[in-house]
Amino acid sequence: MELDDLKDTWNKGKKQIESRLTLNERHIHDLIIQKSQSRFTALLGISIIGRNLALLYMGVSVWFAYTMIDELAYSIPAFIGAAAMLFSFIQHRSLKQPDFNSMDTLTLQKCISQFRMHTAKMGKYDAAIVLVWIVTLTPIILKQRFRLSIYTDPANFITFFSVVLLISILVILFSGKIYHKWDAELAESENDLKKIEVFEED
Amino acid sequence: MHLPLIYLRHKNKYSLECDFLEDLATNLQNLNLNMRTPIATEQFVQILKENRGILFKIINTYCKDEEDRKDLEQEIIINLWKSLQTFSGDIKLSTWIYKVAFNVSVSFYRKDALRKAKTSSLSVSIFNETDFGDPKEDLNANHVLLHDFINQQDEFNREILILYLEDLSYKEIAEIVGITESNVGTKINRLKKKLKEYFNHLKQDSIWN
Repeated sequence: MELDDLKDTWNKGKKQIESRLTLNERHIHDLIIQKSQSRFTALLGISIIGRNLALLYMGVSVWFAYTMIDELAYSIPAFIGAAAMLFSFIQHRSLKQPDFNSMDTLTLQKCISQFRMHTAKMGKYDAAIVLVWIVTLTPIILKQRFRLSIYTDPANFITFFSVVLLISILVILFSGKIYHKWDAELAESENDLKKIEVFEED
Repeated sequence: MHLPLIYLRHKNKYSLECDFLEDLATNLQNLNLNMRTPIATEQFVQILKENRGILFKIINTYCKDEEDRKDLEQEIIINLWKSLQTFSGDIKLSTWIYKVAFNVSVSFYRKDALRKAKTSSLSVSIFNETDFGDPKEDLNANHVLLHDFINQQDEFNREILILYLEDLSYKEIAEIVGITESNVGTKINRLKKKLKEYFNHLKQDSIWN
């Protein structure tokens, strides 16, 4: 049996399916009216929003640092937090939405694999950056909003750094499990990408 | 049916050969209707109606689980609808449908984030089957074997195989899949060889049994 001989079989099968199928037009109209978002596009959208939020967080840190520019114990850490957020934004600047319409299958799949590899690789840094940002911004907020001085009141200083220490220990303790998950995702995405490249070259 | 849409969006770029469509497009312009009117929705449904057979086949090739299938149907519909807004008309409508449907199906098949993020299942399908019996019962043995052969292939070879069976040229297949025309030829020759072996193997099995 030749593949070309089966074209006729294929078309007959398709016609037969068409004759027994009708469309649930109401459901299609509902989908369009609700403007439901594609799940994958939504996930990428969240990542892109997250990347842009890093700029906003950077702005918050810079603004707070500026308001206490003369108190270096507060402003310098806040600038460090802002720099960390800027670093995060730059790391994620390559993120772009895949286009199911214009991209061919292999380009799209490469884009998705690279996106997943990127998020798995950067996940480790992102968690640390958020932690740095919170730790560097909290003293200023406590000082400005609640009149709690971390650096002049020993009790506040001990409480704050005890909390930071506790969170750091928890992060270290659980990072093994989290890192393992990211590493597994990274390996899976690398395999996916390799498969595409092999298919392309073969 | 989609020509008036193209005309409305690209009236300086495209010309219409059919007077009826030209009149229809003019009337729509006079009514000050745009792409996102109910008429565009009706046209979209008409496009889906005309291509329901191939959409059903693609979805069933890449998805075996019923709930997953409904999920994939929805993903394809949403992506087709959204991409209709940017459809330039520089490729054939059928090529555009294949491209979007395969892109979504292959992504779905490759167990990407959208499947992992699945939180709820949909109970409604976009397809209504008038006969709920086993579709395989009505089809001849070759059709069933062909489907089994397609299902044995990886996600990319499945796509090439279906596009070939749909009678697309090597150039069109290359454009949709993203490989060179000569590579399409090589892969189709390999698939032909594999198919021969598959049928020979089945023949031998039936002799021994």
